[in-house]
This record gives sequence, structure tokens and C-alpha cells, in this order.
Amino acid sequence: MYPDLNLRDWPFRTAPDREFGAIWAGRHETENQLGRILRRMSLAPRSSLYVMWANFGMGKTHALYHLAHLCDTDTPNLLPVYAVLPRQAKGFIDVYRAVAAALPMDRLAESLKELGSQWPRQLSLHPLFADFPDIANALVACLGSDDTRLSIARQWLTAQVGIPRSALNQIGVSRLIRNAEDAVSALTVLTRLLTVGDRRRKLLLMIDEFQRVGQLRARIMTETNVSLHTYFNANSTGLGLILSMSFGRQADVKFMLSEELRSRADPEMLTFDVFSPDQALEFVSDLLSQFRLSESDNPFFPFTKGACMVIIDHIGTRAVLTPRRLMHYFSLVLENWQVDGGPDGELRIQHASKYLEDPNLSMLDIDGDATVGVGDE
Amino acid sequence: MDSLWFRRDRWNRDEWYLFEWHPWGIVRICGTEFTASDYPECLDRDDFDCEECTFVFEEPGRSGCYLRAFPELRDRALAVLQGALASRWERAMISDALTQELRAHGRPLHYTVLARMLSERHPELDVTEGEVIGVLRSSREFRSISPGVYWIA
Repeated sequence: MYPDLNLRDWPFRTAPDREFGAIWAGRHETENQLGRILRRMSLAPRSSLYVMWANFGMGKTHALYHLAHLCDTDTPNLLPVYAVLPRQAKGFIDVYRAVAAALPMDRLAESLKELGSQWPRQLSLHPLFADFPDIANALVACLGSDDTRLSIARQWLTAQVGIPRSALNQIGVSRLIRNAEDAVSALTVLTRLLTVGDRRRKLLLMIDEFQRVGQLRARIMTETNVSLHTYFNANSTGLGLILSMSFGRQADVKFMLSEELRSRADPEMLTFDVFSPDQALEFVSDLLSQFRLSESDNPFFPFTKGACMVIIDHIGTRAVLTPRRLMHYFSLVLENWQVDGGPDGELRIQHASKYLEDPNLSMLDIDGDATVGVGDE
Repeated sequence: MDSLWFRRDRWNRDEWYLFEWHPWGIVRICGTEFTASDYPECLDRDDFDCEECTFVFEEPGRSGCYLRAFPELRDRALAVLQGALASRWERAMISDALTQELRAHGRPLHYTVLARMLSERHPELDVTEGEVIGVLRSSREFRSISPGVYWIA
């Protein structure tokens, strides 16, 4: 808590933080769009695919965390799962590993129990597991109290390699999940299990950093696209898929997706482009208001509006205005002001100017992440 | 280098000259070398004054320049240079387009994706994946981040 600043927590974060998923500042049209998309998903049983494009530092990962938060609070029939496309995927199996590791095991177990209570025979014979009966056995192993079986089952479900045959026998599975076809079948069965029993229940699978497919070999890129559209086709209901990608030009989205995936994508695309100075100012006041300990007459407190404008102008004359840059610079100014014993009054124009004086301040500030080659936001 | 023995006078069997060339644009006549970026101006202009020439193509004991004296030599040299310059120009165009695409995208990309971008956005270049990887590999303007993935150097 920062009572001197009238803030319950430090508001400026430069890396996405799940705990801050509830926060949304500025860009109210986008906020409405996110809410509307979730409501559309929760109303219609059909599966849907959305593409999210964001320019650098525009907060796409935060937007996904915010979507997950909205699912938890406003649309409980949507079950959000956040996964990141691996940096150097060797095939769709690596994408599956990332998704499977993020699936909620407790919900899968609950669904399995529910299904088992209505099915008098062996669970692996249930039609839901027709595509991959071994999944039922692995999940049954997860429900038991035997830690060894639980550990083997989790490794198997997340397609780990090198599980010995004797271990597979212990949990009653016949083979490993080893290729793209296995991965699609497994993912399909798991998705159906998570949504069984309620036609409005949906798995909202958010795959972040999807732009990484643009750095994969052509064969792997094609396999990833084909597998995703096969998975989407196999789940005509109960699935919401968001593919989130970040690069400098929106028009490049088409080069990341196959025609089949593009044709399945919703016409409404989620986009996050750079701020105008007014939008940046609104972002700052919105952000601060969500951390207030008590009401304040000055929406920018501890900053004055003039100080905010100086900081925004400083960024705007050197680079484009992005939430990340705003967070960086506002945090820098506020931290320095505090170090100098500032919280006695307001952070004014002269303070902001003083802390922004250093000509080397923006030396490392570049758009994108090309300096590290394949890094990400 | 490919080479060809060239005879000034078909009746005089003692006068043979060595004409060597490389398709990348290197020409050597009797040991004097010039390239597609640095070549005698007379190849471009007929009215060029030989006094200003920095290349020495004179045959010892004789006056005059090989290029002036033997139109066939001159034509061959010109053909080699024009071929190299056209190919260099194409490579420069591809290189510029690749730089433009990478800069706008803002992230490193696999060459196959870049080839698709160029095919769609710069159809006049009529590039193949092989030409794209060739330019990316050979140009100092690009660097490889991981196998097949390139970014601006």
C-alpha cells in the first residue's frame, strides 16, 4: 500500500501479470468488444475462432489475462485456458504440450467423475473417448491417491517422451501421445470432456505468441495450422479459440494462418494499435483510478495533469505511445520522485522534466524485439 | 573463371590473347582485371577519351588498347558485365523488398514466409524461395537468427 500516493498497489507494471487481469485502463471500445465477444461465445453453442493482433507493447497478453478474468466473473460457462506457442516448436505436438499443461486437471477430474456416475460400464468405452480411449484411463489414474500413477498420468497427458512401457501399463494406456494426429485426438477428447453435459459450456483456449509460427520451418508451420483447423472442425461446439499475435503490421496476419483457418475465423478481429496522446492520458487516469485508496479530486494524483502531459509528450516525440512505454516512464518518474522524498504534495511538471532529462533514457527503448531475434513481449 | 583464347588476326597464328570472365561480373584480359562495379568507361561511352582511362590494356610493343582494337573482345566484356549487373540489380531489388517487409513486420521471419510476402506484395520480382534464401544468405544486410530465420543486420 502507498497511502501517501493514495494507491493500494504500485499501478505500473511492465510485464504481463495475471494478478492484474482484473485491471483495464483506457481503450473503452476494446473493453466493450472483449465483453461482447465473451457474451456472444457464451450465448451460441457453436465454436468460434478469433484472431487478436497487437502492435508491439500494446498489451495483448494483458488483454488475454483480462479475458480470463471476465470469464471467471461474468461468463462462468466459459472456461479460460491460456497457453503460449513454444518458441521453437518442432511440430504440433509441442503446441499440444503447452496447451495440455495449462488445462485445469481439477475440472477434468470433476467432469470425469460426473461422466462416470452416469455410465455403468468401463469409462474408456464411453463414446466420448472413442477417438482416444487411453485418455479415460490416464484421467482415472489422476483421480486416485497413488502419487506414482498420478505422476505418470500427468506426464502421459502432457505428451512427455521416454515414459517406459512398464509405467504405461501401470496406468493402463497402450501408447504415447507422440505425433500431431495423436495430439489433435487427445485435445479433442479433453475439450469434449471439459464441456460435456452443458451445451453452453465452452473451453476458451487462448494461444498467445502465435506469431512464432512465422519463424517455423514451412512443414511445421503447415502442420500447426492443419492440426488447429482439424481440432476446430472436430469440436463444432464447445470451443472458443483465440490466436493472439503481435508484430508491426496487421496485414501480415494472413501470412501466419492457413486459408482454412482464416476462413473459420470470426470476421471481427481484435486489434490493439498505438495510443494517441489523448488516449494515453485517459489510460493513465483510468489506471490510477483503479488503484485508489479513496476518491481523489485529481484523477492523475500523485501526478498533476501537466506532469502527465509532459511525460506523454516526452515519449510521443521519441517513439509511439504504447501502454508498456507509459508504464515504464510513469513508473520511472514516480519512483525517482519517491526516492527524492517527494510524497509531500503533487508530482509537478518540473519534477517530471527533471527525471526525464537524461538523454540516454530511451537508448534501449525500441519497437519490437528484434534485438534478441526471436524474443517476445 | 571461364576462359577463351582469342586471336586478333585469324591469319596470324602467333597472336592469341586470353579472355577470362566470371558470370558474377569479373573480366580479365591478358591479366588486366575489371569488375561490374569498376570497369573502363569506354564500355558505356564510345566517345570516352582513352587518356583518362586508368586501366592498362595495351599490348607491349604495340600501341592501342585491346578493347578499342578488338570489337569482339569489347562486346564479350560488355555482355558479361551487363549479365552481372542485371542479376545484381535483381538481387538489390529483392534485398530492398526483404528489408522493407522485415522492417514493417518488426520481427524475424522464416524465409518461406518472406518468400510468400514478396510473391504477393512484389509480384514484379517474380521470386522463388530459392532466390530469397540466396539473397538472405549472401547479403550482409541480413543475419540468421536460427536455421532459416532472418532479421536485418
